[in-house]
Amino acid sequence: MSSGRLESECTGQLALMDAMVFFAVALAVCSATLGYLDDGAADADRSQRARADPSAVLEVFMSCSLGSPVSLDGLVSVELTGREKVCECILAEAWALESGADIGRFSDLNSVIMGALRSICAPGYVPHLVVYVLDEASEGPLMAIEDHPAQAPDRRAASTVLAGPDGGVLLVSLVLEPASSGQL
Amino acid sequence: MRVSWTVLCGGVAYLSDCASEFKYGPRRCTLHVAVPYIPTPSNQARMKFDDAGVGGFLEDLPVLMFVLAGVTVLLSSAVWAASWFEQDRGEESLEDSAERVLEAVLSGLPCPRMGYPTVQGIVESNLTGAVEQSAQGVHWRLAIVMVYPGPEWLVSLSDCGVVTPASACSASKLLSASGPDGCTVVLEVTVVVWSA
Repeated sequence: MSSGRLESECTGQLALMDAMVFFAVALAVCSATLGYLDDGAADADRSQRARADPSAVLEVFMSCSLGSPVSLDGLVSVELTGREKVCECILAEAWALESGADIGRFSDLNSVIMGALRSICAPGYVPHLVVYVLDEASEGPLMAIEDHPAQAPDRRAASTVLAGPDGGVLLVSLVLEPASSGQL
Repeated sequence: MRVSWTVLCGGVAYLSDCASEFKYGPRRCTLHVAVPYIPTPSNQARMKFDDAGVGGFLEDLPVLMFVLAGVTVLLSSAVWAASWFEQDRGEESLEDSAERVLEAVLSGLPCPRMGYPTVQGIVESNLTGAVEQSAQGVHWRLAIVMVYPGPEWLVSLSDCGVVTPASACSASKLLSASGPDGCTVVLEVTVVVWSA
């Protein structure tokens, strides 16, 4: 009878196959662990950036002053000193637009508002301010400064409600969109 | 004299045989031990020899290599995961410290009964004591910056000179304040804490 190492028996290869299966399972476990921890590391930026939080930005933005004087030309010329609060200006502009005023009349005011918003937001974000009238008759936003936000997947938004003098309600939404490389 | 090589390898072969039996159905299962085979009537009755498919040491080296590689991969991933969790706990602690210092700064700001705190009052306030009470065991730096209408540094405080940080964390909050000309301005209060 020949020795075991010389015998052409395939059952001895089962141990090698089991070892290979064990190695493959170890690799799979290691890959799953490292993948999970890598995802956690990507989300582990614990520094809180208030200027990237739309609700914090919207809260201080609505209560801050315009900062620079603006003149609104039209049928009635209006001079803003720069001490007016942004929420008051948005409210006045919204009700003027509701009354049929031309939005071009408020282009300077909107530029100042958007400049203030860009200053408050974190540099890596593009802000969009959209105003809706909360009633059943309105369809779509009343105005968007400066343009409507794109359908970016990782945009963040916050909103607040402004009450007008005649009982109407405005919904002001702030959308922070991550800036593309060309917008930085 | 017929001798198998070690008890360990005999055990591995036995476990492998048992696993094979589990997968492929019942078959002959043999335990090899590192003792010389001395055929006596008693052990002939209890043990059966099957050297079919049992290789020598060199033939089983690939098996040993795969087993050792698998164990090494598992151990290295476990060590790496443990160090990651340890670092994560340290960052959580730093995050709590940053929030605590920020709350201490905000509560230390001079607030009037009505309206917002004034920029002048914030610049003249002494925040070092409040921060040092809340920042225990960590280094810190405090900055209060006017972000609107114009970027302007108002307060910059730190606890020490240059220390190389091992890990750091920051917290910030936006704040409305009354400017000198009656305008409402926006300030950003930022606290950075780090451990050496």
